[in-house]
Amino acid sequence: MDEMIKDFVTEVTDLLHEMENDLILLEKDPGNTDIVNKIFRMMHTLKGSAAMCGFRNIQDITHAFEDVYEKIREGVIPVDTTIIDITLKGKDQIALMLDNRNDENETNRLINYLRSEFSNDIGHQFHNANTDSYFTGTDDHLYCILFTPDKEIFERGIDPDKVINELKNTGSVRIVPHEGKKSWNRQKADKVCLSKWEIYLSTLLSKEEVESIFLFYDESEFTVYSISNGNPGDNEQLHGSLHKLYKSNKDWSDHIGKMTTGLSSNENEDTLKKEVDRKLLIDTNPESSAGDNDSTINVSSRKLDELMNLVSELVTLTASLEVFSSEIRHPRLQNTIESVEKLTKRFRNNALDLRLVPVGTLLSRFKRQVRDLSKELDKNVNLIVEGQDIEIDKTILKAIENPLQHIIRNSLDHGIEKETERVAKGKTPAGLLKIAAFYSGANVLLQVQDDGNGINLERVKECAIEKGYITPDQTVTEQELINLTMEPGFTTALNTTIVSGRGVGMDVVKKELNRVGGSLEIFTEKNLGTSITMKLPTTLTIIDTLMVDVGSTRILIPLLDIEYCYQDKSSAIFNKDNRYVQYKNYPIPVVSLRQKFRYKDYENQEVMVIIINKFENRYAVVADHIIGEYQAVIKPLGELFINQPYFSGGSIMVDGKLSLILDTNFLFNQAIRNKI
Amino acid sequence: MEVDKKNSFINITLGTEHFAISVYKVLEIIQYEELTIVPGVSDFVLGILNFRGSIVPVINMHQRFNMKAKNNTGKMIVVVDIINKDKHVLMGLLVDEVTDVVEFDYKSIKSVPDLGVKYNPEYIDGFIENNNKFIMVLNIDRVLNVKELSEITNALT
Repeated sequence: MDEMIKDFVTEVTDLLHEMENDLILLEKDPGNTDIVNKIFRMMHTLKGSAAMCGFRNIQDITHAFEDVYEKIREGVIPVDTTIIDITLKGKDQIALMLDNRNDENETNRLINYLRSEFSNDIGHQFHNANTDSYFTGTDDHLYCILFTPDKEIFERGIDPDKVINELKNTGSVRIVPHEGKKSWNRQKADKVCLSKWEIYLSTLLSKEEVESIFLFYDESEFTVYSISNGNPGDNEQLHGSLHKLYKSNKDWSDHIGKMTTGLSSNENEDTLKKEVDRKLLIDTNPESSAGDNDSTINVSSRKLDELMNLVSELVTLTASLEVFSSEIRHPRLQNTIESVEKLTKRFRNNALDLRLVPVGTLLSRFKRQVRDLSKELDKNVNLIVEGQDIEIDKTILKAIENPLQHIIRNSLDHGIEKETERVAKGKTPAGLLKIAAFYSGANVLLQVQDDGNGINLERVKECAIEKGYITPDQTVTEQELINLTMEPGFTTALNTTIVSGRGVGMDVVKKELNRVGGSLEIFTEKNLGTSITMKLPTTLTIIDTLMVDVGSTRILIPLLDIEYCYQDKSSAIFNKDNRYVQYKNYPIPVVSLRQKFRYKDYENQEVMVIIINKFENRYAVVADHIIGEYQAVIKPLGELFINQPYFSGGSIMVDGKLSLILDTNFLFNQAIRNKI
Repeated sequence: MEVDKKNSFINITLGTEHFAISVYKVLEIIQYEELTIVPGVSDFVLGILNFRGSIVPVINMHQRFNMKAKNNTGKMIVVVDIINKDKHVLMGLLVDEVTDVVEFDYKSIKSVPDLGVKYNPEYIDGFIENNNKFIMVLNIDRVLNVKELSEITNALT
C-alpha cells in the first residue's frame, strides 16, 4: 500500500478510537461543549485528510457530521442518545470504509438521514459538498508551502519548528520534511539547518495571512502556492497530481509547477532531488501543543523479541564476567565490570520498558462494549475505569483481552440487575461496573467489580452435586464453591443468552491467565456484588527467584510466591501420618519435591521448608537446601515439554548450565485439590 | 576438494547401524556433556542443553529406535534444526558416533523396500550404499515430530 494511505489509515483508526471514547463521555455529560468542539474538529480533520487521500466517501460522511456538530455547537440541536447512536454508527461506517468493507447503500442512507434530519437548509450546504471544492467545501483553501530556511537560521535566533507548529494551529496540515543526511535533532544540535519542508495546509486563512506567519523569514526562504483557487473543475486533476506527488519521490517542485500557474522555479531543486529520507509526518490535531514531538513508531514484536533475547544473553554474560572478576580480584577489572553491570541493568530495564504498554489501550475499548451491551440488556450501568496508565507487557495485555471481555460480559449479563429489580432491592438504579488496574509489588492487579447479584452459590452447589463434583452431604466452603466455577466445563447456565454462556467459562479465563503467569481470584457476596481480580506479571522475561537444590536438580522458585522459609528435620515433616506442616498456627499442605522428582526420599537430615503463597492460599515445598537469590532470564522449555507439569521455563546460569523454574501454579492446584 | 552442500550428509552410528542426516539440518556437533535433567519426563528425553543461549532438549536416539544403548563412552550430540508446523525447533540427538561426512547424489538414494526394514518407513527417506555399508537416510523432521515426541515425553505424568 501507498505510504501515505497507510499513514492515513493509522491516523484515522486512532482518531476514530479517540472519538468513540469522547462520544461515550459526551453521552454521560451532554452539556460538555469541549467534547462537542473536539468531535467537530475531529470530523473536520478527518474530512481534510480523507480528501487528500482520495477517500471520497469518508469525506462525504464526515462533512455531513461536521454540519450536524456545527448545529450542536450553535445550540440548534441538543445532544441526545440519537445523536450519540448515529455518530457511533457513522464512526463504525468510517472504519469500514478504510478498507472498503462498507455497504455503499448503508452509507448513503446514513448520510441522507443526517442531511434530512438535522439540516434545515438542505441543498444549500450539501450541494456544495457534492460538487465540492478540493478540500472541504467552500471555505478552506489548500496551500502548498515550500519552506527552505537559510542554513544559518539558528544563528539568527529563529527555530523553524515554531513556524511549523504555528501552521499546525491554523488548520489541517500535512508536513513532509526533507532532512537530508543529518537528522533534524542533530541539525539543531549543530546549529546548522539543512532541512527543507514541503507543507500542505488546509485552512480558512488567506494566502496573505499564511505568508504573514513567516514574518521572520526572508522571502527567498519560503513560497506559498495556492493550490485550490476556487476552480472546482480542476480538482480531479489536482487531486491526481497531488497523489502522484506523494507516491513518487520525484522532483516535487516540478509537480507543483504543473498544478499551479506562474510558478517560479525553485533554486534548490538539485539538492532536493538528492535522495532524502522521506518521512511523512502527519499532524492531524490542530490542538496539539506546540513543540510536542514525542512521536511513536511501530516496531514489529519479532524485532523486540530479538532485542530481548540479546539483552538476556548480555545479562547472563555480565553475570559470569562478574564471577570471573571476583576470582581474579583485579581492581581495575572489577571497576570496569561494575560499570558494565550497571549499564547492562539500565539497558535491560530499557529494553523491558519497550514491551510495556498502558492498560488503558485495552480498557478504553471496553467502554463502547459496556455501553452497547447494557443497552442491549436494558440495564443501566455506570462504568468506572481506573489506572489506565498502568503499564504491562504487550503480550500479557493481548492475552487478557478475551478473559477480560468474558468477565465483563458475565458481570453485565448475570451480575448487574435490571433497574426495577435494583430499586426493589434498595440499590441505586444504575449498576456500577468498575475496572481498576494497579501495581502490587512486581505484579499488576486488574480488578473487575460490580455491585450486582453476586454469584449464586446455592445454584453452583446444586450443579456441582448434579455433575458429581461433590457429594450432597459434603461440606464445602464458599471459596471452594467459587473455585468450582473455574473447573473445566462447569456451568450453571440454564439456557445460554446472547451475551454470555456460549460454553466458554471461567475455566478458560483461568487457563489463559495461567498461560501468561497470571492467576485469578474471585470474591462474591450475595446481593452485594462480585469482585474478580487478575494478578498479572508486568513482564514475562525476567523474574527474581530463589535458587534451591533438590537432589541433583537445581530449581528456581519465583521469589514473589515465597512467603517464608525455615529449616527443619526431614523426619519432623515426613515421619507422621499427615502431610501438613504448622505455619502461623494453621496446618498447610506440604509437597516433597524429592518425591515429585523421583529422587530417593530423605534420610533423617536438615531440609528447607519453603512456604509458597498463592493468593492467600498457602502450601509448602521441601527442598534440600537454599543456594541464594538469583535473577533469572526466563527461557521457554519448548513445545516438547508443553504438558510437563512442574516447570514453567528454564534459565541459563552464570556457568552456562541450565536450571529449571518451578511452576508454583501447578503444585498449588495439586496441593489444594488433592490435599496432596 | 570442495564439498557440495547439496549432496552432503553426516554419517552417524547408533549401535551397529549407520544413518545419514542432511548437513542442511545440522547446526553443530558437540561432545557429550553433562545435561540438565528435567524431572518428571520420560528418560527418552535425556535432558536439556544450553545451545547458543537457547534451551535445547536432547533426545536419546537409541530409545527412539528401540535399540539397546552402548556404554556412554565417546558419545556425540548432533544439534539439528527441524521444522515443526512451519516453525524452527532445535533439538539435540544423542548418537554413538559421527563418523564422517559423506556425499552422494540424491538420485543414488534407493527407496526403502517394504519388507525387511525394522524402522517406521515414515522416518526413512531411503538408503545408500557406501563402502559396502548400508546407510539409512533419515527424514529427521518426521523422526523428531514434536507432537509424537511430546506424547512419549509426557507419558509419565
